[in-house]
Amino acid sequence: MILAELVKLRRSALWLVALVLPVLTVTAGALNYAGNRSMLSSGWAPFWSQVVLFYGLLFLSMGVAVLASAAWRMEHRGHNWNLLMSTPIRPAAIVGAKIAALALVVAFMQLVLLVLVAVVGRLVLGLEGMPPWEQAAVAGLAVVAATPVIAVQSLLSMSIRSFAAPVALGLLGCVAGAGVLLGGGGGVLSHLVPQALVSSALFLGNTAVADSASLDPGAVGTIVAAAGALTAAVWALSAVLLARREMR
Amino acid sequence: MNRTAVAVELRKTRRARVVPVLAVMVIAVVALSSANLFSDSMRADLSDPSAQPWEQLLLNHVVVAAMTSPVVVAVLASRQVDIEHQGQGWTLARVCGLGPGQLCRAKALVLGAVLTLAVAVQSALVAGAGLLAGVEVAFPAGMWARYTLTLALVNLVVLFLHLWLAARVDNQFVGLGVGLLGAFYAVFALLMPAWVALALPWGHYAAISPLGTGPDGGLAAVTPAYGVLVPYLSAVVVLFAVACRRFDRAEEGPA
Amino acid sequence: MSHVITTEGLTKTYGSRTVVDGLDLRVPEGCVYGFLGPNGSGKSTTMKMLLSLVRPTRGEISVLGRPVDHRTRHELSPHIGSLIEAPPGYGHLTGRENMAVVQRMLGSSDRQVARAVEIVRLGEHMDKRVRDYSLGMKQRLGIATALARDPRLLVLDEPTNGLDPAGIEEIRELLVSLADRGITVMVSSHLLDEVDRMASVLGVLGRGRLIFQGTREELFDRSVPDLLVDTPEPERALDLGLPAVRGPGGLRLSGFDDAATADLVRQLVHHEVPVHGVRRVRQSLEEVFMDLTGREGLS
Repeated sequence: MILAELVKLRRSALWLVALVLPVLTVTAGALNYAGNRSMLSSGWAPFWSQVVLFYGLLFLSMGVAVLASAAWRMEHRGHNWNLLMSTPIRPAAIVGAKIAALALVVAFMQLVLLVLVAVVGRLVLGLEGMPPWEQAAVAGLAVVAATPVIAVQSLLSMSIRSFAAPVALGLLGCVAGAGVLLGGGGGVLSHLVPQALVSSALFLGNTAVADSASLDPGAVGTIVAAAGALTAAVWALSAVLLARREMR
Repeated sequence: MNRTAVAVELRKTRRARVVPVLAVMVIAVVALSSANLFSDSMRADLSDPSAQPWEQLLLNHVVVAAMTSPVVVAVLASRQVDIEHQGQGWTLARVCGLGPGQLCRAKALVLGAVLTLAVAVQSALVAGAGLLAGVEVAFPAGMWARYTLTLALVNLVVLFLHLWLAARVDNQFVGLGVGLLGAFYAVFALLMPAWVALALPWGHYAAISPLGTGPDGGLAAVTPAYGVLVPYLSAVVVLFAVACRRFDRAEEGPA
Repeated sequence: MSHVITTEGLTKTYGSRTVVDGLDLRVPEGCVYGFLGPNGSGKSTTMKMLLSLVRPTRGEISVLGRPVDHRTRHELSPHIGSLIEAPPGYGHLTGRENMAVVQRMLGSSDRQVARAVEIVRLGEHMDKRVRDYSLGMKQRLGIATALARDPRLLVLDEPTNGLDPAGIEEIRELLVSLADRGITVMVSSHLLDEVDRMASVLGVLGRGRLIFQGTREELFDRSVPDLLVDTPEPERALDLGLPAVRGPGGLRLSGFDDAATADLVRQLVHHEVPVHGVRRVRQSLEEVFMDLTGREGLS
């Protein structure tokens, strides 16, 4: 079923988003780093923190929102629901495959981000050596942390025929997530709002963001556990809703 | 402007839930802009002019508005135009004597009016949050009003761009993708040299910021480059009008 | 005769609106079952319920000997090919890629897919994007996706909708040949002549109710065609007070069954009205249908 999803993503504009978003993120981060060299200490860590600041706060989650809408749009259009629902595939597998395919796109996006950070940092900004392994770990962890956002946006886009409405709700989630983080409430709440979880993950070990946790097994474990629990809950909910769905 | 077209658009906004979407976004933006007003560390600064509480609050509003407005505008424009693509609306309007360009202008008028109202309410609410939190420093009314007005204008221009885009491209993916990238650009324009902010309309969300970094590292009032902004914005309005005219002349729908 | 589909009192209401009202369907194995009714009579909703895409408000459904609900959907669906409302298809993918998606979802073999494509004769268009397909090609791709699982039952909702006469003929031949292979085909239409020549069993739906079910012959028996009497002197016959109107070559009389016809001839001969011939009007399925539903049933 995941393979079928991957066939559907062929020649789809989804990959373009997964490419353009990291390119812009790294470009903007590099420009910002170069422009503020006097104020920032030199090195990979400050460069990284410039790159992930708004990416973690807003653009990764919003990217996911747009990707999820685009992925479900294929089913809403051209009467593909009837096709999908008259196969022996169980609802949980249908939703799960969508989530997995989207997670794969996000993983690709993160990989592009990492490669670009290394290339731009080395060749353009003249940073020495290679980015520390922590950044790769954080980028990978962000894929895990992004799965609840993927699951939620997928549920929204599955239930709502409109393309834009789930994106608007995703923006609301980002605002809520940023509010939770900036409000300093943190703790449990920041692990319950999916968009805040993405931010927390990307800001791990980041000196530029206030209140960000350090990259230690405890923090990573909490994020992975929260992401797993949230994803499982939303996945199950989506499967139940899909099974009860009435085709009009 | 055709009154029938406007009346019809108003009716469509009800189905597209424009007002609820905007209301929720306004509340969210206000909440996020004023979140740290109520934190403990901020308490002591509320009555200290050197801590610049109003300026801090306005800057928060600038950042949050730059982050969210491009997406909100893209969502509204995309929804309002997509109904025409979905339901053969262009053809329906054409046989009723309304050209696609007229339809787009009516959409611009209706959405523009609600958006402007939303910006005014939003700005007033942010100021209200400051008063509620107990800021005792004098309120910089002039700066606040100027920013509110320019934010509304930039919104309108970006709305025109998105309406045109949504009419031309029958895929909401494109419009919302551009909106997302626009938000990206707006946020980063806040941190970039001024010419970056002025280069694209989305950067104008940053270019209209009435605050910058002063010589002492604190916030200082700056005058946005109105000399560039106003002609730029006017040019987009003219281009939109020209594009609408071309829609009317073209056969069939605009896409 | 064993039935592939049976329903008992199948009913669907949306709010206070009853869309399907107490259907007792019997679809015999290996036939082409023509499911007829005007637009909005509940055909699509019924078919969706048979496929458990929509839950019935009341009533029982049994398909291939199993009760139908959303729990048995994944057990039944490998054996049921379907095409509901409009043909599916991912526009940005080619026909071949669409079939690959379907193949993965169904777990079909390469051979099954190749055969399905061959049956609908879409081979040369498989590398074209579906958004560039004509309606007929989309329709055939839809049927190919339905066939890709080697189904025992095909449920097709208006598969000839929007096709030109040649395309309709092609689908008709295809469905008849599938029935010859032992596949039961249930096909809906709002046009009678489309199913007339392919269906051996008919179900007629009007306003959500089943107003007829049986063979084509039984349907014709149900309504008595008008009687035509060829006579050079129709006025004399009318003077006898017969419930007749002027018809081609003489008189036209409605509602005369065989016994009444014999009486009529005896009466005419008795009054020395010259009778050159007595025959029945050849009735189209359309007229039979109108007879059954009543004029208002069609609107």
